[in-house]
Parts: sequence; structure tokens; C-alpha cells
Amino acid sequence: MTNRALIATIVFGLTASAFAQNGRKPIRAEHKFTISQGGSFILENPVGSIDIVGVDTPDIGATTFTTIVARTPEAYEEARKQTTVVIGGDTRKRVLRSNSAPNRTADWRANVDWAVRLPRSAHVRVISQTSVRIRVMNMAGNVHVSNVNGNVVLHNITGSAVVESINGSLVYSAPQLGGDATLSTVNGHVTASVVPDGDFYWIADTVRGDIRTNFPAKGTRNGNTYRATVNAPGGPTIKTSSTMGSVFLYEQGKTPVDAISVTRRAAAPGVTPVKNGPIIVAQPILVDFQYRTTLGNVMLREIYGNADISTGAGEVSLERVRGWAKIASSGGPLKFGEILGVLTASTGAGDISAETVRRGGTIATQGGTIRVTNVFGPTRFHSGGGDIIVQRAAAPIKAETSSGDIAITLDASSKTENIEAKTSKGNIVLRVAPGFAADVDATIVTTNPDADSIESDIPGLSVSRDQIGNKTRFRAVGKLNGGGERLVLEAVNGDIRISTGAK
Amino acid sequence: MRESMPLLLTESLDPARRELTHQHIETCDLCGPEWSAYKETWMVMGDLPEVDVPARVKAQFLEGMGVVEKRTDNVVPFHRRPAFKWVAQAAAVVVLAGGSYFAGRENAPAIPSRDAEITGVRPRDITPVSLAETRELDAEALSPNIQGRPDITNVQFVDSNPDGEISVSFDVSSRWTVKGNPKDKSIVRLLSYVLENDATPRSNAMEWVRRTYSDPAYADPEIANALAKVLQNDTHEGVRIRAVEALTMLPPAVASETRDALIQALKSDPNPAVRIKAVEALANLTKSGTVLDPAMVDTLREKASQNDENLYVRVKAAEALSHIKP
Repeated sequence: MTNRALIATIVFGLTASAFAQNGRKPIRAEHKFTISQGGSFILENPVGSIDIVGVDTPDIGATTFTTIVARTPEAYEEARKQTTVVIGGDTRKRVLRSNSAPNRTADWRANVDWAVRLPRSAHVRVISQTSVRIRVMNMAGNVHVSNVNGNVVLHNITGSAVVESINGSLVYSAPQLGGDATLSTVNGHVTASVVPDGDFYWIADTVRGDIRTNFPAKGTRNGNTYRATVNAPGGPTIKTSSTMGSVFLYEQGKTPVDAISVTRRAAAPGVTPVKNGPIIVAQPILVDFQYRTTLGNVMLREIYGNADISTGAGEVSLERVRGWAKIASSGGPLKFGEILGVLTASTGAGDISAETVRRGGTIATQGGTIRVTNVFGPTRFHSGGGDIIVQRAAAPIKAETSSGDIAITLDASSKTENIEAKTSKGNIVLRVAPGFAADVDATIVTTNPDADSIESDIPGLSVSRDQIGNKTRFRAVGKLNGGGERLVLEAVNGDIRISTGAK
Repeated sequence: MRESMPLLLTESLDPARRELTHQHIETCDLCGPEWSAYKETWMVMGDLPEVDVPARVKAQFLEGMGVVEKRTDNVVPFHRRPAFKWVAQAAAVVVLAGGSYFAGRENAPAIPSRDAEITGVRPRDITPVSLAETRELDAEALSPNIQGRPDITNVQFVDSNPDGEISVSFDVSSRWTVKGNPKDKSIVRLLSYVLENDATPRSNAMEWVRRTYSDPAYADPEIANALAKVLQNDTHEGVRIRAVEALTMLPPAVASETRDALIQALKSDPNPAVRIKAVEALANLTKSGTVLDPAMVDTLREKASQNDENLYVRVKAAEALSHIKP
């Protein structure tokens, strides 16, 4: 019995080993064809690494290594049949394309690696989806590489170069500047090294990362973009950008260690460079807190003093601030618990929510919904587009949105309050106690007079109607419960409702 | 009162008694049904064919009444023979029963005996009611009972046609309450219609839909598509924000069909909040493994690199791209 089991194990192991060898062994193929002087070479390769080297020969020599990983012998055969290399075009424009069937099953995958030698003068266009690495070197013609996943290396390129990547770093080196270079990626770094004495114009851009160089660049930083002239004015433009990574520009032949951040260089004397990155503090902060960052979320629990926070882009979340709070984000949601002092909060875009605003303040977003549960101090709300919802207000309110509904519920004990609410497109609902008193001036301008109306559960309003062009204006004025503070409500293409009900 | 019913039936009562009898029947729980039965019987009797009375019964009746019918001489009386009749009837019964038994035994398929079981339940016949802008009904399809006080306006009358039918057209306002499971097709279709059309207040509808259909158990592509249409077409920024918020909350399995709308919103919506939420929704989709086509990847890449775009949108676009799998 033991022998049988042993034999079975050996047979199984040998079979598996044999298949594993079949399943992973690269299939090598050689291709040779001609290309005219200054012709274009286009390579489309969805998955696989690419190595292109410029040489001093008139022909193109391409070697493909097709690697198939399959679960079963049948899947392996299917992969072999469906993974093909197509060679087309003519001597002026040579096109090579590898097809790895898009409708392949999950039982196999294949990638084709390329090693290409072609005339140095050819123009190169590479279109790839995923690669471990794409390398193009020793080319005098123009080079254009598009890739999604994987690093791209351009080495010894004397013509113009364009690299567009998404998830991968870019490395570029040019012994002489023969043309513009545009190197951009989203999630990765960009490193360019050029001759020390080259004259060129440099544009660098990054949202999250740093911009560093050891060139004596003279430039200015505007937001996330740094523009500089390197050496003498003129020459080609080198554009390096990475959304989430850093950008480096080095002098060839020098150590990159001495490169410094252009942020520091561009900053005015005495100004501390802003910090980058998020901050999360779970413990209470017992003093005033000030924080600046160009990018990153700020998550804090409690601040005993005042809070002064700004972020270029990111979410800000504060559970409790005992002093005043001045919060600014160029983009991202703001979330507050209880703010005991005056709150000044603004965001370039995003929702703003607050549990309790004790002393009132200003809350503004250029686009997003504002939701506040309790307001006990005079507060101004502004949204560039989005609803404004105040669930309990016991103080004067001024709310304005360019598009969205405004819903304000006044505290039940509030007998009268100065309220101003305006929406350029939307409804206004004001919920008040039955005894609420006010001098009302409510106006709606609408293109649909049958649908939009002014309603009040408290009597005392007289409504007039007039026509302005193709629009109808309803205006309701009067005193509720004998009159009180001013209540100004203006809506375009929406209803106005003064309600005494719970909903 | 009951003795008056036959007279009422035959219209033999004077006007005063007739009126009294009618009033009593209308108020009396016992007489009402009995009067109905009388009327029904009377009507049935009117429909029955007239049958000649058998001669023997007629003779017995006349004899009982003391009237002697004079017989003609050429008629031979037929005398009954009860004993022969009974024997003949019994024989006929035996022949029929025996024959049926043997015939059935030879020809009927053998059915094995087994316990009774319910093999299926036939649902109660329900004629679905559809919401329609206009509806035409035959009068007999409309119940004579009008419930509540529906508001009927814009009434139009059409004179009788050659068949003698008249028509009445009107608008009616009535409140409908439709109950059902959130997955019921009719509920899904109704909500989609509410979302896509300018029902007031739409933002509330979207908030409710978001809460209900973010549960994966109720997720429905039709709801997702309705929200996508709102996102693409509504001029109201507040409504578009709500729509994209709702889409963000939907399970990726159903929301993936709406990625075109999200990409379009990211690309061209003037409101940065809509773009932020659109890119967040796309990031959620890519994180869950949804495959984006090359055009969508390009749009995200352009957004991530666009200098004048809101930084938060750029960062979120980069985040979405980082989830793209080989």
C-alpha cells in the first residue's frame, strides 16, 4: 500500500512537473524586416516588457519571448493558438502587434516580451498596457511611449520624447537636447537627467510629491507647477509631471544627493515651507493648533485652543474645538463635531457637515451639500451648488446656494429670528413654531407658475403675481403673528414653504 | 307582510299598500332577502317552458274535483302493470351496472394508490393595474362605487355613437399607495419613473432610494440607470449631487453599468462637488475590480494631470487609476 502511494505520488509529481515546464517555458521567435531611413516603428504590446535599442544597421531585428501560464494542457494549447504576433505596414511605417486574445478564459494568461534592434534614426511609438519595464535607448528619432502599469526608461535619447504613463515611474536621460521632452505619470516618480551645459526651459508639476533639482534653475512656483529657465534662456522644453509622485531633474555626471527642493528655493525669505502629507491625532491637543499642508487629510480629535488648518486638497475632520476654528481646504469634505468658538470653514469643493456650531460663523463650499445639526450663533452659509440643511437654528441665519434646496428648522423656542435664504434654483422650506412672528418678504421667480408656489401654515401673507418676460414672479409679504424680525426668502424655479408641522 | 309579496309580485296591490310594502322590504332584514328570492323565482318561472299535464294526473285531478270526463268509445284504456314495471327496471339496472363495471375494468389504466399531496398552488388571478397618462374604460369595468371624494376636473362629454354609447372624459386626482418588496419589478419601475421625471421633491426621492437600494439585497440595475440619467440630464446641481451620491452608495455590481454617466460627470460637470463624487464613485468601482475601458482610463488620466482641476479631484482620479489591475 505504501509503495502504491509512493508510485502514485511520483507519477503525479512528474506529470505536474512536465506540465509546469510546458506551461511556463517561453516560446522564442525571431523576426527580421526592413525599414527605410527615418521610418516609423510602431509596437503595440498589451502585456509584456519591451526593450528597444537603436543600432547602426539598416534592418529591424525583433525577438519575441511568449510566456504562457496555464492551468491545464488544454488551456495551454488554447493560449498558444490565441497569442499571436502580427507584423504589418511597409518600410516607411512598420507595425508590430502582439495579440493576447481579449476573450481569454481565466485558465491561462500570456505575455509577450520584446527585444528589438532597429536603426537609430527611426521614430518609435510604443503602446502598452502592462509591463515590468519598457526601455528605449540610443535613439536619435522621436520616441513616444504610452503605458498604464510599469516603469519606462528612456536612455540616451537625442530626439524629442513623449512618455505618458499611469502607474509607473519614468526615467529619462539625454546626452544632448535635440527636442522637447514631455514626461508624465500619475502614480510614480519622474527622473530626468540631462547634460549640465544644456539650455532649456523646465516645467515641473506635482500635487503630492516634491520637485528637486541640482541645476541652477531660476524659476517660480505657482501652485503645484514650477517653471524655470535652466542655464541660458531658450532651447527645448522639458516638461515633467507626476500627480502623486515626485519630480527630479539632475545634471548628468553629478551626484543627485545635492539636489534641493525647488519649493524651498522658490519660497520667500522667512516663509516656512508647507508640510506635505496627512495628519491624524487621536489624543487631545491641549494648545492652539496650526497646520498647513499642500495635500493630505487632517483628522483630529479635540483641540483645547484654537484651530487654524488649511490643506491644498484633503478631508478635514475635527471632533471638538474649544476655541475658534478657521478651516480651509482647496478641495475635500469638512466634518466637524462641536465647535465652541466661531467657525470659519471653507472648501473648494465638497460637503460640509457640523454637529454643533455654538458661536456661529461662516460655512462655505464652492460645490457641495452643507448639513448642520445645531446652530446657536449667527451663521452665514454659502454653497456654489448643493443643498443647505440646518436642522435646528436658534440664531440669525443667512443661507445662499446657487442651486439646491434650503431647509431650515428654527428652534421651537424661537419666537422670531432674522432669516435670509436664497436659492437660484431650488426650494426653500422653513419650519417654525406656530407662534413664530416675522415680517415676511418671500419671492419666487418661476417658468412654471402652475408647479411652484408660496405656502405658509401661518396666515398673514398677501401674495401678488406679475409677469417678467417669460417668467412669473410671486411675491408674498405680510406679518406673521403680528410681525417680528425680517424673514427674506427668495427662490427661482422652486417652492417656498413656511411650515409649522414636524415635517 | 309576507302574504303581500305575491300580490306585490303580480302587481295586485293598491298604490298605498304597494308603497308601504316596498318601504318595509327595504328596511327589514328578513323580508329583503325573501322578496329577492320571490322575484328570482318569479323570473325563473317566467322562463320555464309550458308542459302539458299528463293525462292520468289530469284525470285524477278532475276526479278529485268531482268532474267526470266523458270518454270516447274508440279509446282503449291502458292499465298499469306495476309488478312487470319493477322487474324490468331492476333488470335494466343490473345490465347497465354490470356492463359498466366490466368495461371499465378492462379499459381503464391502472392508477396506483397514493397519499394526496399538493402539487402546485395557482395564484389568485390579479389583473395588474398600470399607471397611464390616459386610460379608456368600458363602463362595466368601472365599479359603480366611488370611494372617497376624488377630485374630478376637466370633464368632457361625448354624445352617443351609433351603438348608443356615450363617453365621459375627465382628469382625476387620487392618492395611490403601492405596497411591495423593494425588488418587485413594479416598485422598481415606479421609483425609476419618479426619479427620471420631475416629480416633487425629487431630492427626497433620491435620498430614500439611496437608503433603500444601497442594501445589496435590493440592488437593482434599473434604479442605478435611472440615477445615471438624472446625473446626466438634470439641470439642478443639487439634484445631480444627490444622484451621484446615491450612485456612490450602490453596490458596485449594479453601479458598474453607470460608469459612462460617472465619466461624463467627471469630464464635464461644472459643479466640482459632482466631479468629486463622480471620481469617488469611479474609485470605488475600480477598487472592486470593475474594468474600465481605455477611453475611461484616458479621462481619469487627463483629470489626474489637469492643472486647473480641483486638487482633490486630481488626487481621487489618481487613486482610482492606482487600482487598475494588469
